[in-house]
Amino acid sequence: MNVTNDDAVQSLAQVEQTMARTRKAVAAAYSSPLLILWGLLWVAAYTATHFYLKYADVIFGVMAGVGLLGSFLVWPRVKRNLPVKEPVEEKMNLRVGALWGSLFIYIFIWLSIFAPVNGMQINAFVCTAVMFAYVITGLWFAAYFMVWLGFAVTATTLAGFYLLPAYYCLWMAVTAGGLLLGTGLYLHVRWR
Amino acid sequence: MAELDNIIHQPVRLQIMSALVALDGGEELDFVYLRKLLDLTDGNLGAHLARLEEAGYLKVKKTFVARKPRTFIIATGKGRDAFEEHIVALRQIIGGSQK
Repeated sequence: MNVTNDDAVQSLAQVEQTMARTRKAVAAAYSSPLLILWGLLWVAAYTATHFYLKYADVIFGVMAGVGLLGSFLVWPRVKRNLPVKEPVEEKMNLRVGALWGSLFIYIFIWLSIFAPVNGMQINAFVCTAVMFAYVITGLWFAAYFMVWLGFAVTATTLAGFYLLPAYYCLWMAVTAGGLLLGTGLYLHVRWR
Repeated sequence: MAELDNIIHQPVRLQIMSALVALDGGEELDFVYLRKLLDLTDGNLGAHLARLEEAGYLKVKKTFVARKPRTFIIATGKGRDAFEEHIVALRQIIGGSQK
């Protein structure tokens, strides 16, 4: 077979492009619907909390309930539309579920140990703990956009906490919620 | 010295193998997604898949997901090895011309 240097360069470029597109499509199919769902909920909950601070517990309780229920309802649809089929899917789902379940147990343990004095401290702590799980999940599955998303939301949380405490909730609605929602929409439109 | 693979080198088949090898071992790629990715017709993609399947480089599996028929494709070990050797051979061509 006669293959020139230019042919070889072109073929390798096409290989890299196709591999990258496939990996991105799989990552987007798994994560974009859940990022959009939780992004919308964060935007709604933080905005509502800014205007009705005394109902913060109720607002975030409802958000968590709707988010978990929504995730359970969306997940079968996500699985149906995946461009891949995995042999160990159920086992992996259990491991990911165990990671998040363990995280929430530890969040309660740490909250009881450190006993934060106000709602903003509790919120910033839970938010950064959840983003830590994003980073771990991203590293686990080599889905590096989740690592960057985790760091970005953590950075915006810290900025709001230390620099804009009076507008913390509004800041979080726009930046943290906006990052989740924006990333989900970007993956859905550009990567799938 | 690695050798180029005549079957894989065809541009569409090279892309098919690239997409399959991009997945973890054991993962199967959806036929419809692959058709969309490569912008091919059912018949054209089917013909290239048949050629690669004949060579033992992939397996085509028909199954049901949520009571709907779906076709998934998986690269075999032989296919992954052949692809890797083809890539090494392409790199050697580039490396050789740079010496």
